Amino acid sequence: MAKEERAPETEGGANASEQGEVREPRIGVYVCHCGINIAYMVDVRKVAEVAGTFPNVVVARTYPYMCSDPGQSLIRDDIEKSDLTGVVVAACSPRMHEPTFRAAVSDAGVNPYLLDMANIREQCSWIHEEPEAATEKAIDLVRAAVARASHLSPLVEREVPVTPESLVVGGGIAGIQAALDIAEAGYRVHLVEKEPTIGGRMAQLDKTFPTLDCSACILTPRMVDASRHPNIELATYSEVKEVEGYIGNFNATLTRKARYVDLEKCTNCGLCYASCPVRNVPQLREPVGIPRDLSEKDRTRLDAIIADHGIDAELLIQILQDVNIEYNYLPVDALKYVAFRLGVRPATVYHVASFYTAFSLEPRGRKIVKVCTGTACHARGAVRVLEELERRLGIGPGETTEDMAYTLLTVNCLGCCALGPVVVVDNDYHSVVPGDADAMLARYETA
Amino acid sequence: MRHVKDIADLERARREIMKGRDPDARVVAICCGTGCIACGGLTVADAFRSEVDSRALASKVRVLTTGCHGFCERGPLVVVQPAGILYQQVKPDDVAEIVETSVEGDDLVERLLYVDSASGEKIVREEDVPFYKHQTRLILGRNGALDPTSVEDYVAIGGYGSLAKALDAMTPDEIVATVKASGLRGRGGGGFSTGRKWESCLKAPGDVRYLICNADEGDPGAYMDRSILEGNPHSVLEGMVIGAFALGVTDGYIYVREEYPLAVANFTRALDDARAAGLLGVNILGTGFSFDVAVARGGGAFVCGESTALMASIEGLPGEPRPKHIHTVERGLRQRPTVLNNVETWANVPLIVDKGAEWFAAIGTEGSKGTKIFSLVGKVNNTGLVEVPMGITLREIIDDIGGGIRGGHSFKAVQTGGPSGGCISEDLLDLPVDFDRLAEAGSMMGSGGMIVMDDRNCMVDIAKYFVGFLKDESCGKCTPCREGLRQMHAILTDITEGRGEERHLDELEYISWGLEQTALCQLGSTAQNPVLTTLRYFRDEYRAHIEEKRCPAGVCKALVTYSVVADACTGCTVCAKKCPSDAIEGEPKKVHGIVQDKCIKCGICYEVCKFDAIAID
Amino acid sequence: MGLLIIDGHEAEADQSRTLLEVAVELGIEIPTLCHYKGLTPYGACRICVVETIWKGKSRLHPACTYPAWEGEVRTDSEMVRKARRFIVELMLAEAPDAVEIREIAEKLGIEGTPFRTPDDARGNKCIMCGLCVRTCRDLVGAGALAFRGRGENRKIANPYGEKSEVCIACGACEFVCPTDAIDLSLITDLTPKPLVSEFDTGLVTRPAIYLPFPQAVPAVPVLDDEHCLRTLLGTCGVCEQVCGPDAIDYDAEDVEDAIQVGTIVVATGYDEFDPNEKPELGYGMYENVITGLEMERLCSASGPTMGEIVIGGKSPKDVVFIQCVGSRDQTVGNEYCSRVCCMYTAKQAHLVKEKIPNAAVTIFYMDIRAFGKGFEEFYDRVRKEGVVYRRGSVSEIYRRKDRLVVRGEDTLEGEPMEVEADLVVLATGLVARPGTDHIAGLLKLSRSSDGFLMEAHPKLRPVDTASDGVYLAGTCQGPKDIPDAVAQAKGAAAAAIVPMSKGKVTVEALTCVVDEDLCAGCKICVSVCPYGALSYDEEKKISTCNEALCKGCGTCAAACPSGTISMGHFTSEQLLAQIVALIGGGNG
Repeated sequence: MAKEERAPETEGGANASEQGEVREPRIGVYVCHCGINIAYMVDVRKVAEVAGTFPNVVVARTYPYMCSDPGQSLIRDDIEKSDLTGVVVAACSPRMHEPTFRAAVSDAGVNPYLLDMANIREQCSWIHEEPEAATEKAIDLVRAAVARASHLSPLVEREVPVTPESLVVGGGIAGIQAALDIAEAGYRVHLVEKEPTIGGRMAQLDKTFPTLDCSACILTPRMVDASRHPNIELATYSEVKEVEGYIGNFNATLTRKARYVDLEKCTNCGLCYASCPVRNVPQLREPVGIPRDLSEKDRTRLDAIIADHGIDAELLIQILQDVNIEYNYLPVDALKYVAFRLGVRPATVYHVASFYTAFSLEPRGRKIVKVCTGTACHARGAVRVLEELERRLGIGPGETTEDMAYTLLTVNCLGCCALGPVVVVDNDYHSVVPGDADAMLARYETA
Repeated sequence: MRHVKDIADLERARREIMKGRDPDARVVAICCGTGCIACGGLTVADAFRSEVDSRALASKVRVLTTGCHGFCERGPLVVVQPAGILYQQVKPDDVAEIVETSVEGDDLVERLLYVDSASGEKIVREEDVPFYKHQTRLILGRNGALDPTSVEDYVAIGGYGSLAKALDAMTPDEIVATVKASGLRGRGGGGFSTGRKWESCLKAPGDVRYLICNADEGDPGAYMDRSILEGNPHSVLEGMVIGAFALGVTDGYIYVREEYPLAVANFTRALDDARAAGLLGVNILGTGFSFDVAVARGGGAFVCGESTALMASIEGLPGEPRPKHIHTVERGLRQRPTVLNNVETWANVPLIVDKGAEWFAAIGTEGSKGTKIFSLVGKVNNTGLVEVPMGITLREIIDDIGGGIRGGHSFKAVQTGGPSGGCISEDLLDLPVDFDRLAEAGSMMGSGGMIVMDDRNCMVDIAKYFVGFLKDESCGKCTPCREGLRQMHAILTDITEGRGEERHLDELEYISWGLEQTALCQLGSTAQNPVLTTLRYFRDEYRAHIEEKRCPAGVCKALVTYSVVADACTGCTVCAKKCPSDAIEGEPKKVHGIVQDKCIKCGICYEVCKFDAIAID
Repeated sequence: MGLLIIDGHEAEADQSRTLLEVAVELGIEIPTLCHYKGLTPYGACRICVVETIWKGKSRLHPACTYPAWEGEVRTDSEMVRKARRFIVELMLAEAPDAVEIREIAEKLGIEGTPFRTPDDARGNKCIMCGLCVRTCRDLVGAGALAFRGRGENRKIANPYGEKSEVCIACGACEFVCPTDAIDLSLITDLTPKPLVSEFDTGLVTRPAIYLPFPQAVPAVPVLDDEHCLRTLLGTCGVCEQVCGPDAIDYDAEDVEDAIQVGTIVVATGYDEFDPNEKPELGYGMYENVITGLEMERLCSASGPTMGEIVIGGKSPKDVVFIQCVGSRDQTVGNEYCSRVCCMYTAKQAHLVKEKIPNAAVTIFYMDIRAFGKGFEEFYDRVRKEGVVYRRGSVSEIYRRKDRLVVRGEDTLEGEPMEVEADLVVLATGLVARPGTDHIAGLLKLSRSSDGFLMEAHPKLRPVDTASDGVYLAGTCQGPKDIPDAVAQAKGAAAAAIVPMSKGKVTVEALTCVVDEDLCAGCKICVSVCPYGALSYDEEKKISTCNEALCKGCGTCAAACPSGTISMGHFTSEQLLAQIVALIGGGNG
């Protein structure tokens, strides 16, 4: 390396520091050539020369590569020899080498924060084309740096302890691997996974290229390792909600979503998921209210019947009995309305309405002809009476004539067994001998 | 009736009622049971009222419309008290004569008296009529003495005295012990000891218990419960209140068939009257004991005779039975301990409390105590409700009370126990009527239906009838009942329509076994009884249908042809007029003939011919 | 309690349990049809009858309802077999089309039925076990499906014969039906939406409580509270009832956990590109256009088809792969290459050839990027297997009759082209997860223009981030294959270990300083500090700085209206001196 000439030493200052409380700053200025990066445009020697004249500057030098070891030694030696209290390096961006020079200054026993840098490369040589003006600017930058350096005060760097635990966010193959490595190194790991299981995408893959080994086969052992590792705390179905703090001291809040299954108690016997009947997305809907087509008048009629009995699901059959009498059958909207008022589900109402023979879901005729087919009546020829009536009315049991005049029903016993065969028209009881049914009904037709 | 303050006050109230009545007054009791109403009982009663009014006899004569007297065959029935004269088949036109002769006067209207078919003698008094003479009418007997809509009438004959006795002089445990000691067994069909049932219910854990009266008389061919409810509702209610006190129950239910409107009306009236009189509701007879009864009208389902189905129905649900490995006395209505007894059983309770267990136990046989009401119907002369002591033979009932088979035909079978019962043949007629003996014969007591069949009844048809009935009445919940009965019915239909095969009999027995072993409730597990008993006693008839394609009774249409017996035909033309398919031809006063192609085998000609000139082959 | 002996096995009699429960526990198999755990035992089908012997008397009772009283029970006696035969024969006649009943019959050695099928039962599958009705009523709580009528006329029906307005289309009825007799679409006025397995990429349905896949870790099911009838409606509760160890807790709530850590590794992964963004490819419209990930499940031996490649019930003859779906595509904003699609497509093409040897496989590509170890060799191998690589760009996929047509341009020949296919696999690329913003915000990370998280330096600090102590691993940083993801994970782990092994770290000396005497407590600084270092001291009514959090950025100092806050290394005095020196110029 070429030996640089020394800039003239300025007098004074050196002794003052040892005596006075207010020490005059003693600043060294180092101008870097950066090879030719700076020197081709900026007259670095001149810069150093002029810098040597600035107040408080006790030494000013140039060197081809300040960042090199010899460059740094230059600074350390000067500090020792000239008892510098501050250093200005005129070189590149502090982003690049500020840590380098701070370390050098610190090594020589000066607080690293008593260093300032003038960026005469990015802010000067690289962007200017006139050497003289560039040199002028470099001198200005150095002057400003020296001025600031004269006012710098030492700062203390602090060290903080590091919590020996790590948080791994995401339990796919990368997260599992990272967690395992950290755990193996002896540190506790919180492995947080949003899904109910770790494994991530890799678990879904079939074979892996190009070796065609089975993805799950190589992944699942790792998953199990992660879950069993004493240093790994698994938090599945969990998310990181908040993180505060800084390196070594992060405070994280995890949200563990309700799984509803106790991780400790569950034996994964599989009965729960084998028994859960849901297979589609339940589509919740508004409760069914009053049937739209039900008239105000019908509501009044039905309300009156319900009021007679009371609002109690157990009274459904009793209420339907009266609805059936009121309408001569059970209109669908009436059933829906009663169901709504009593809070009974459609399935129950419908089953009840279709189960009991007292109820009819179809409109019935003005006159209801019931033929008793009880045993006593059967033994005395009720079937013949029924057939006669079927022929006469042209309908079968349970049917209604087209003109809505008659509904023909069979009843399993009317409790007038001594009189069989018995036919009831509306509420009149008739003991009917086979062959007489025609005549019996004829009386109603003329009436 | 006025409100009764306490137990002693009941007797005072009764005396007040009696004081208002002239002990010498004549009473005309007109039977207005459903049977007599069907024959015009109500118009007869109206006629009596206007006749008495027009003769200004109102103060001296009481026209009483009563419940069923039992002798429905001869309705409308009228009894003139205190003489006890029975007039039968009374028409409104007869009323004036009766009032004049027997009410105002002391004579008889001879033509309306009952004529004994055996001796040809006229019988005056009701109690001397053979139909009544052989009965022991402990329960039904009171029907004729009171107006069912009058609580005073019931109190006047000592009604609610048993309740007073129970509340006053007995502890609940004593009542249960008395009922148990009496040997009373459930009259609804099962024949389970009532006392033991009550005892189990008391022992079952839980503070809330229920009590139910089963009045869902579903057995076709039986109507005694109806007659009791219609004719004497307070007797049932009194039994229930006594039971409630014994069992510590505050809520009771009566489950009545909707098809029994009069029973519903009379019982509801009885509840209102009893409540007003302080015999029901809060603080009964001033003792602090409270109990009330709600009426649930059944929707018409035979299966609701099954206790769990009945309870489901009271809960507003379809009448579907549930498994009852744990009995309903422990887990019944709303899963609480529940005592369920039928109408007749409840009606027996006041009698037992009144007269004591020993008195009751003295009636009947070793295992079956007291009386039983039967609905004696079918092909006997005297149909109606009969109440007899347990142990009487079937023959006594059918011949002595029923007056034998009508129309000169011969006895073939008697069906007892409803659809779950069986058909009993002639050689078993001397069987004493008793829960256990009937069961041994393959039938059962059931609720008391007794349908008499003659030689014109086809037993295969009867089996098919019952299976068809049960198939329709099955709730359809369990496979054997729903599907087994359907298959059984299909096989029986095949047999009656000429498609019978030898293997069918084995299949019927196989299904019978399956039903008995696997059906969920009694409806299914006893449904095979009509088939098994007819197979047992009348196998020949099955064989005739299968092997000879012949219906010996001439019932199964597909297997019969109708023809005119030329010797007997008078050419009266009735058959030709009645024939719905114009299949009978012939000129008046000349022998008619049947055009077989046109004949639809409706059997009307056979029914209407007064000369037995229609033959069935 | 007495002793219960079932087929010679002894158990404790316990009338609070049923014979069936005890038998199952003893490993004794009893056939059931109308039984469903969680529903009240019903005792309707009667196939579970067993012989009980009590005081020498034999009776048949259904095991599902009969209490486990003391005594002897035989589940396979002559009597039991005869009764089961009877029941099955009735069912065969009743439901001739129920395959499951025929299977049960076969298992019990029953060849046919002596009974006739009634005319109205032809084609019937329903055995009236009522599970559908009871489930809908007692578990779902809807009561949409009803029994109608009674006896032989009893049927399962929609109330009033109308499509249900209370059905929630949950599908429970279909699920519980033992004979596949239910068609939900006939019951409801809603369009059922299958609840699909996320793991199996929607190819199969899953229940509301589920294990994501058999080897899941932890091997504990999770209850999906957005679809569970209990959490949604307060009904059902089957899982709780069937759970032996009592592990279900419907009242569970989200729990927050605070932890302290020294370092953080972010490994949040990627998402598959959503091909719905390219509607011209017909994804979502045609069931036989699937994504790469769906193809993975379809190929997987543990997948819903057990590794058989079937689509719509058929094995495809012509399979087309389309590369670069969502990658290298400016139209969807993804300019980057997803790095894995070329190779996974080659692999999937190979699997198709292996599983369906006669299938024709065509791959449309832009360029093949086979840069990794063994990749080029694999690509060669696949081509040798007969897979056709065609350089082309696909403009549209549409249906012609029952086949798909892939239309586009052959970019080598410069000609338009059309290829028919039974299955089209879209080689969907990798995109940043939607949650990336959240994690970036939490940890003060930057994202690169492709949306993935940004490393501190693309070459020199590939696992570090701008936040000290936070490291990146895997595809959250950018598309990569498994080995690369693992390698980066190991790097991130190593980086995270360093400060922990040192036990301490140096923190910034350049911090802000609050002059306590001057601070008016306006809190502006608190709101502007990006590091949360400033807080308001309620007691002193002034702002204070947490020097450990402060990065010395100076935002607070600039914002402070009263000049209360100064920066340690950039005091006004220092800066003014610098400025004066500059403008003073000359040789100062």
